[in-house]
Order: sequence, then C-alpha cells, then structure tokens
Amino acid sequence: MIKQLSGALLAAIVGAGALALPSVAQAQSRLDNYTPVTDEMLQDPAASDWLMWRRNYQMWGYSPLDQINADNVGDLQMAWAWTMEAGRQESTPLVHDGVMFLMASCNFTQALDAATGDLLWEYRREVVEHPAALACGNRNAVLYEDKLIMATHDAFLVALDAKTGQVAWEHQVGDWQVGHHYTGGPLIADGKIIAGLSGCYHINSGGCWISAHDVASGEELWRTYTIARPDEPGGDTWGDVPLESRYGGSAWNTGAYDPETNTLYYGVAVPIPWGSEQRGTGDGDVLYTNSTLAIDADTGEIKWYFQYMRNEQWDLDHPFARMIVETEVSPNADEVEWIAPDLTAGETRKVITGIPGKTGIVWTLDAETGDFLWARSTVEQNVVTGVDAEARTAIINDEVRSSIGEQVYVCPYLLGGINWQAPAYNPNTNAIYAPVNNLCMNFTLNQVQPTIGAHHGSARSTPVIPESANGNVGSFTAVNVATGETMWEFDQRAGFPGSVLTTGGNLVFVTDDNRRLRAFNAETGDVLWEQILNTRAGGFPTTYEVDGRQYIAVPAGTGVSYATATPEIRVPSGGNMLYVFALPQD
Amino acid sequence: MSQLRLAPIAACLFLGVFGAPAVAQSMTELPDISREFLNLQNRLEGDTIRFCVYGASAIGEYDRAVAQLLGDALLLEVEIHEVEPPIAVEGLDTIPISLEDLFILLTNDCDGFLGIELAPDVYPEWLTFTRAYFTAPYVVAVREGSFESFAQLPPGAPIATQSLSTGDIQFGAFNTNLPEAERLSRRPYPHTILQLERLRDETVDAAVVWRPWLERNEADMAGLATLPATQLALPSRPMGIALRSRDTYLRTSLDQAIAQLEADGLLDQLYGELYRPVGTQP
Repeated sequence: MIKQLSGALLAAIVGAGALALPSVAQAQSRLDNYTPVTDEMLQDPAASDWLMWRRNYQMWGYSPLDQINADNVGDLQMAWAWTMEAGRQESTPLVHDGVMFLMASCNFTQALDAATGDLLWEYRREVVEHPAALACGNRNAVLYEDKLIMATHDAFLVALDAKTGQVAWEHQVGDWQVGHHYTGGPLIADGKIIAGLSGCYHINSGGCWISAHDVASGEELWRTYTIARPDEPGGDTWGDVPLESRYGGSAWNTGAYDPETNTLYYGVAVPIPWGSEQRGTGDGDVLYTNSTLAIDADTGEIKWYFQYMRNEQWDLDHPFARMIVETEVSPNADEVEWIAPDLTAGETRKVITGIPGKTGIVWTLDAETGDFLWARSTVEQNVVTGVDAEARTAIINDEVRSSIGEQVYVCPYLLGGINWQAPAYNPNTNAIYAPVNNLCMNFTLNQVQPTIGAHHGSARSTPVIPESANGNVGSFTAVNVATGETMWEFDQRAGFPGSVLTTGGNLVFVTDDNRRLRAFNAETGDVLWEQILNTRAGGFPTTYEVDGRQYIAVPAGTGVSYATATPEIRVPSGGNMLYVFALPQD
Repeated sequence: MSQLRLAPIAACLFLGVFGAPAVAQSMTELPDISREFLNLQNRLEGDTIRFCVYGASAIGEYDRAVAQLLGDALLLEVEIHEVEPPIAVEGLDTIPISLEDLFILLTNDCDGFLGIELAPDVYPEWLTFTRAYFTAPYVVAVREGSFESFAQLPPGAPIATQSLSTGDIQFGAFNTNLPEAERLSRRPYPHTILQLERLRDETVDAAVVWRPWLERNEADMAGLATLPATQLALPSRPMGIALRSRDTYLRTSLDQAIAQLEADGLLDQLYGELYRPVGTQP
C-alpha cells in the first residue's frame, strides 16, 4: 500500500533540473525537523499549524495568523499549486512544522513541503469496491505524536508514521461490505482516537456508532451507538421495530471537544429509511437521530442529548460541526425567531452553536446542560415552526409530513441550506460565517424494500429555488453569536458549496459554485480579493505559516454542489487541484 | 453482470419508484445509460433463447426449470444467464438490482428475465411482461403447537414481516384498521431467513412470509407450521418474465407457451417435483 520515494527516485528528481536540488534538500530537512504533536499542541495549536479538521477543538475554522490581512489581501498571489488525485474533493490540508499532509479521495495521502509543494512521501490505500458512492469523500485526518491518523473509506483506522508514510498500525472498525465507511475524520481527545462511523444510509442493522480507540494500536476502548437499543433508554422511541431493522444514525462529521469538561459533542444524521411509514416507527422520536450527543470522552456515556428534529423524514441531517464558544447570550428578538422563555439575557455562557443541520437554522445550546437558548433560520425553511424548549426539540410542521407516494413541497432541499461545507467562527468579531443556500424541493417517499448493504432509496426529489430568494441560491451570511443578528449578508445567483476560513487578519475566505474564491472583510462583508479557480472547491481551506510566510491553501474540485438549480453556471467535472496563495516576497 | 456501478445505489425492483407523475417523463424514455455499456448488436436470433435467472430468490430453482420447459415448448435451445447482483441477500422477496441494470441485462445478456413480480403502473414503458407462470401467496408461519388459527394470536403479539414487502404492506393495512387495543405488534425484518430465525427463538409469535421460502428443499420446516386461511387476507404474488417492450413477438410466443404448459398441468407438476408444498414436509 505504501509507495515510498526511493533514493534512486530522489536522485532522478534532483537530476531533472538544477532548481530541484535546493527544494529537495530543504524538503528533507522539513521531515528531519518534524516534532511530535502533543496534547498541549492540540489544545492550543501554534499559530503556524493546522493540526486537525477545523484547526481547534472548538471547530472554529479560525487561525490567528494576520500577515495576510484586510489591508494587503488584494496583493495575494499564487505561491504554488499541486494536482490532486481524481475523485471526491473534500480534503483538509493539515500542516505541522512546515510539512503539509494532504489526504485526498479514498485516503490517498501525500506529505508535501508546505512552502513549495515538493513531494516528501505518499501513501496509497487499496481502494475497495465499496457499495456507497460517498465512501471516498474523506475529509480529514489528524496529527498526534509522530503519527498521521486517518479513518478510511473501508472503515478502518490507520496510523502512518508522519516522517515516512509507513503504516504503523491499522484496525478494522466497521464492515464496508454492508456500507460502513468513514468520511468525517478522527480527532484526538483525552489521549484517545475518537471516530464517528458513516455509511448507515446503506441498510445495515443497528445503525452507526461513535467509538474511542487506543492511539498505539487502534484497539477499541468504548463504543456509543447512535441508535437507541431496544432495552436501553430511548429504545422505545423506535416502537416495536427490532434492532435488526433499525437503520441510520451516521456520525459523518468530526465532533467538537471541550478538554475542560472532557466532553465530546457529536452530531447524528437521519434515520433510515427516511419516512416513518417506511420505518414502521409510527410517531416515535427515533433517538438519537438528528441530535447532538454530549459524550463523556473517558467512558462514552451520553451526558445529555438535544434532538433538533424528531421523527424526521426529509433527509434534513444534523451531523455537522458543532462550535464551542464562550459568549454573552443576548438574542435580539427582532431577528431571532425562537428564544428560551426563561433565558436571562446578558449572561456569559459556554455554548454549543453553529448550524448543525441542513435546515440552515443556527441553534445555540448551553454546553454544560444542552438547554435550549435560542435559534434562528438563515434560509427559507418550512419544516420547523417553533421550539419546545422543555422537550428540547423543534416543533415540526405536520403539513410537510407525507405518506408513501404523496408529493410535498419542503424547504430546504435535501442537499441542505448547508451540508458538509463548514462555517467558521471568528473570536474577534464573535461571528459565525455561514455559506448557506436557498433551495426547496418537491419531495416524494418511495415504496422501497430495504436490502442489506444497499442504498436505502427512500425518496425522490427535485430542487426548486423559492420565490423569496429572487433567483439567488447562495447567501454567505455573518451572524453575531451573542445577539443572533445578521451582521452582513452576501447574496448571489451561484450557490456556496465551499467551506469557510477566517483569520486574525480580519478576513473570511469562501468559494462558490461559479469557481470564485473570495476574501471578505470579516467585519463589513466587503469583497477585498477574488480569484477564479479551475472549478468549485469542495475541500476545506486552511492557512499556515512556514519560514515566516503565511499561506492560504484551497483544495479545489467537486464536492457538494447546488448548480443543478443554476444550469447556466457551467463548471467542469474533475480537475482536483490544491491552490496555495501568499503575499509576494520582497 | 455489467461492470457499471448502478445496482448498489439503486432500489430493488418492484418499488413503485417510477409511479408518480413527477417522473412521468422517465416512464416513456429509455434509461440514460452510456452506449459503451450496451451491446447493440445482440438480439434474439437463431435457435437459442437466453433467460436471466436470479438463483438466490425463493423460486430460483423453479425458474431455471421453467426456462428449460419454455425453451422445449418453443423448440429453442436454452441458455441460462445466472444474475449475480453486487449485493446478494438470501431471503429477500425482491431482486436487488436496479431498473438500469435490468435494462442492460435485457439488452446484453438475455431475452427475458424470470421471477419478476407483476404489478400495475410501477414499471417503465420500455419494459413488458409475459402472463404469470407462477403465483403464490404470503402465509402466516408459527411454531408448531403454538397457535391453531390467526384469531388466537393475542393483541400485541409480535409478528415478523419483511420490511415493505407486499405481505408487510397488506399486514400493516389490516393491523392499522383494527381497534388500537386489538392490534398486533408489527416487527419488520430485512429478510425472511431472519424472520424465521426470530420465530424459532421465540422473539416473535408468527411470521408473514412468502410461501415458497417455506417450500424450498433447503427450508427447514421442523417445528414450524402455517396457519389456515384467516381474516387476514394476505396477497398473492404473480410472477412473470420481463422483456424489452420491443420484443412483442417473443412475448406473444412465451404467453402461448405458458398458457399451454399451464393447461397441461406441467407448471404445477414441475413445482411439485422441485418444492415441497406446505403441509407435506416430513
């Protein structure tokens, strides 16, 4: 599986051109000087590094680097580029000590000199004939000690030696033949590897789970199922459906982690099949689908849960990044639709916030208890009509529930007001920057017989741009975390399938369906810089510093897209490419 | 089976997927499949007829024999193409391939596909069917000696069904129409092998299953029985041969052959030779 650059090959590269020699030598020194990643580094990462999916445990997608800032971002230019493997583009470039670790589709991974893009080593995992089309959308690995740890398309955990790319160990967690896979990568918490399993949108009995593993071997330490077992609390919310026929609950994005309380915050996706009539669960809540699970990182015990949508049937998943923020909580009732009745405004709290699900609703909960604080929508939606704070769930519009074969008009579209493209949080502005999209759908549940290992095939749907959007699908929106107010909004025809990066330079970066990569002023929303790429960017932009120079890395290539609703926006398929930008050197 | 990766992500046959007005357009068109996957020269010719058979179905063995019988009746050589879906699940009432794969099979590999449930308004127009060559009902299986009639099952008794099969849907409709206090507890399972396993280990009191699963030679009916006809009117599944709509002459020929074999009692005789009708097992 490993393809190591041999000495002979290195010699050939060096011989290919005089200019190659210094860069190879420098690249080698990058690995020589590579230092192990510690727990302290993960909790307080060096400004120059990007060690995990959204850079910190709080899932901010924020870097304090400010060499590139609102005053000079207009001078940004390409420093280097790198062609990536074909396949789904959902990569997150990680950087430590000047080495970039770039895991692409199907876990094909390369270590590059982060200043030049020169190849240091590469690892090619054997690609299995996976039944799930999304299995190779592998978003992120994590750096810890002297290892790069990944969760794979064939449901393994794999640790590579960060200096050589050699496999240190691998451990099978799920069964890819029934659909299991990892797309959201692992994180390190409490000295353990934590991983959320996906692929439970294929028919596999009992649903998915979140598990903890030994960092030295991958051996499983605990497992928390995302679907309540019949004889456990919440088990009765699936009615009489036996465990063998309880499906779904993928945990397909990386969770957040609070080291102070040793608590993990993971999101759980939808039940399968989508329709309660298809599942046979009646009006049961089907726990813990569409919930946030607060999990004790030591034991896997569920401390609390908050189920955003009970008995859901439109594929409006809630597995996305939860952000941990300490903030004043003073929601402005003029802009925030739902506020907890007993909320004492003005208090400073540690909250779980962000847009956890496809409804595009910003939800803010108390991090310690899971109590509801406030929520507001960002896009057209007709599914949630209120919040039952006491029951800790949304009130669902019964008019959009349907029987098998009955068509209903539902907002948002099942690709979501937002999907796996991640918002970012900037502590300097106390704002979330969200790449949301206005699309609704005509939705019909199918009569479909579940087949073990096969896709569930629950429904068919067609996207529709709602009238209220005036033809604009994309809406890049800044929301104040304290007040819930819209700080600014950038609406346009093209959707926003790209993830967000925000920095200490008062900047926010995001890409759209029309190949535009832009830098916005984080405070005002003014567009300060724009670069047209070869295609949309499905990967996660990151920033880092090497030898005193700040870089912006953007993995372009197709991931999620809203372009079916804007057919005049033509984007080529394929063309995965990593672009790295920096300011000109003196 | 074609290398085209369609089957794993598609729904099973007989799903009603194409039943709604929203997709009426696709009912009248051929599937959007690249020509590179299709053998456009391969049409019925000479003295050979090719049948696709899914051996893992409840009547796979019978289908093979019927194919031979039909070939003999039409004075044609018979070639059997064994269909091996990427995901094969024993005990499943439907065939786990997509309509796109069925189109490819009927274009490249066979002239007809046996073992497809006949149902109105659920298939696209490029598909046609012969008359039914086999029909069998869903039945209620119980542990021997536990219950003698369906009416004896007490309210709340757990009943195993195969999720969203025809029998499950009919049972669900029956159960929903009962007064709430008299309802049984529907327990959907992904396939019949598991239904029967849960019946044996007493997780459930009865199982609604398609009768041929109980009548196969491989079926272990020791300790199991079926209940006589009851107030629960379970459906029968008529099975036919799927063909491309263009093959009208072949459909007429097969219809005539099936009718003759049926009139001669040869289809029933064949089933009796290969299967053990419920009630006659040792």
